[in-house]
Amino acid sequence: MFTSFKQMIARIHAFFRSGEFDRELDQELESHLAMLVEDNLRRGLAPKQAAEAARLQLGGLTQIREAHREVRGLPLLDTFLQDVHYALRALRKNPGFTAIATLTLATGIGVNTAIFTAYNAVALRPIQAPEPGRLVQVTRSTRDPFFSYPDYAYYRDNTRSFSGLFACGFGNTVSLGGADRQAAAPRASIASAAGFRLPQALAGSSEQAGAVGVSENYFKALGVGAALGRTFLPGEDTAGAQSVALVSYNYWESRFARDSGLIGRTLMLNGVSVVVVGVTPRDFSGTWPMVPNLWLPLSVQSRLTSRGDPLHDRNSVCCRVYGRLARDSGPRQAEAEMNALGAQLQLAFPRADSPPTSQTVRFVLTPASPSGPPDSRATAVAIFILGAVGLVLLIACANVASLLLARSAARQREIAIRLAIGASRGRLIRQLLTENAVMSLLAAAAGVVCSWCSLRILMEQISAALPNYWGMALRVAPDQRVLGYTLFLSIAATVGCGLAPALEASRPNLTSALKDEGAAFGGRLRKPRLRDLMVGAQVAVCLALLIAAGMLARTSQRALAVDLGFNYRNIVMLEFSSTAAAMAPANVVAIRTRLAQQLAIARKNRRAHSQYRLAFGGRTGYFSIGLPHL
Amino acid sequence: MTENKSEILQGTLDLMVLKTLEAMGPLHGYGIARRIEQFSEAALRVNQGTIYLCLIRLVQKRWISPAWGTSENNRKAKFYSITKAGRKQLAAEAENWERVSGVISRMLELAAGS
Repeated sequence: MFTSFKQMIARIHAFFRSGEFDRELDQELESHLAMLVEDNLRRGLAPKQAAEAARLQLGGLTQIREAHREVRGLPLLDTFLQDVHYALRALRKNPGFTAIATLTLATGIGVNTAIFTAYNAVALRPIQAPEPGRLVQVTRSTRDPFFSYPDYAYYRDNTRSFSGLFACGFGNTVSLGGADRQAAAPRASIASAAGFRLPQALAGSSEQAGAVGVSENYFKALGVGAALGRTFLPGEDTAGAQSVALVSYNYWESRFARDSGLIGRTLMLNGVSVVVVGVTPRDFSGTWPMVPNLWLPLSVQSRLTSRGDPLHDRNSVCCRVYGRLARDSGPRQAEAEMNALGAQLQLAFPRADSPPTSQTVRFVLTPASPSGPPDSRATAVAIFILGAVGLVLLIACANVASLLLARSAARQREIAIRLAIGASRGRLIRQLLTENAVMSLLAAAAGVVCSWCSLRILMEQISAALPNYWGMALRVAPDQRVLGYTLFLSIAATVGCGLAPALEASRPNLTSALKDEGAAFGGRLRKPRLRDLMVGAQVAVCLALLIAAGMLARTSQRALAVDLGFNYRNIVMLEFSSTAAAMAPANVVAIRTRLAQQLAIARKNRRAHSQYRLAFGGRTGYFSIGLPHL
Repeated sequence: MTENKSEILQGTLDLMVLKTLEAMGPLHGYGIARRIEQFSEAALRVNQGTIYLCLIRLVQKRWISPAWGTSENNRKAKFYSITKAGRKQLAAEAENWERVSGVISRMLELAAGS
């Protein structure tokens, strides 16, 4: 065992120092030959015969050299490298063919890589925290992931299976004051050029920032520290504590130009002063799907909004609950404990509105992910899209296979000669496949670069088209998983487009191939059939894709032009986000009256009518104001 | 050079080379080849070049170690000498060989007697 390990090391060494070993062997063989000649002379042979006999006794030098190389080195790798070498030479010799085939494959592989990168970034991304495998989300068997704060607090204080149970509330938009106004950034264009209207704040609006409320132990339980300053301290989630906030690195960079003086500064959020205590790490989105602008303790968030006091209301859901499993606990144990705690709560606070089935509602732990618990519908959509781009790759492979078939007809003489001088069919197929693999890998490299660039542009466009308070768009970059997927694709493409032509090309058909006139019509019965089959399949797949793409484009076009039944062009929406006190009904009426008066004065001859409605469930005010003939 | 023949020879050749080096001390490739030819009384006719395939294998297994030197005729040559691991291997192989050859010869005697 030990010997064979040492031998392996020696073989690898010899493989990389092949030239040195060859020179030493040559020297040895030279001396050997000379000694043989000397001995033969001593035995009385004539000089010429002595030399001849010596060569016979030693054996063929080339054979010895090759056998030596095989014995001491890594013969499989050696022939593979030879194949790669030959493949590169063959590809260089046909630049036109190489370019077209590589581009075709690069398109197929690039599209697939792009879609998979996006899927990977959205659905397969782990939470950016140490040991994400021990993080779980607590949901119920009814798939309802929301808990009220008092319920959450009860679980948090009584659980033993979790080293930390933390909550992530809803996102909301707050108006930002107390910071210098920011110049409006240039906005993106592709989406608006395509006719997509996305809600953008009009000039003159107050500045909006997106905030996510979390429990005070959120960062501690995740094991994530602040990039600057500190995270939340225990007690900052209680009602009387000072109002604090964390700024995301991305917002700190884009809005505050990475000003380290921001720590300790007071920002006015919805008119409430909040102290910035820290900056979260770059791109940190925690359990949230996108990077928010601000992180607030749940209590601070509820103080800023007009939602009342959800922290003490057992009937109002406020947050999703996540946990980090304790070292000595597993998901089963944690689930059982949560069920027991849930039953205790049910006994202590029987809910009037709870349906009779609530006894059977059980807790379910799923691996925590920014994209939420696994969703079979989303997975089905992802599989559908991946399948669609898979078809694109299939078409690319079929195209390249046709090209290879056409080329193998031209190469038939070369292949026939190699078969005739003793190459085995397996060896030939391996060599042809190596050629394809080299091509596929080139295509994969091009595809990865293209997909990465296009995705970057796309994400920039998306994040610029969205209001910035929706949160930063995801950063997408190819990681190990994406590269692995691309490698898998290129191997699939190699076999997919190369195997049939290689089998076809290496079919021993010496007599007709070696004769020139036969070569042109060689295998005339078989090849056209394979080609016909491929063309047919290609047209079928193309048609299916074209129909799907056409329908998708037409549907989006229709959706953009759908008749809403009213003229929305001159309607603006005013949104107030403020604290509960400021949004008391009397205030709202006053605001509305004053607004109408101002509008009437501003446009004396034109009617401005205002309509006021309550937003669902909350007390935030929305006005839609019709401005005819604007 | 067929595959089968060299496979059969490989083990025997290893053993012969090791034994030669143990008995004679450091030798170059030509010396080893000649010694084996003398002992086998031309019963084993191999291309002398084959000895180098055997030698590199034994070197890689660290059973023998090479060193450049000068031959009796003032020629540059690589001299091989047996290592400690090589001696151990030789002892084990020799014992094994004796056992097997003992069994074979007893079998042959039995066949002749019956």
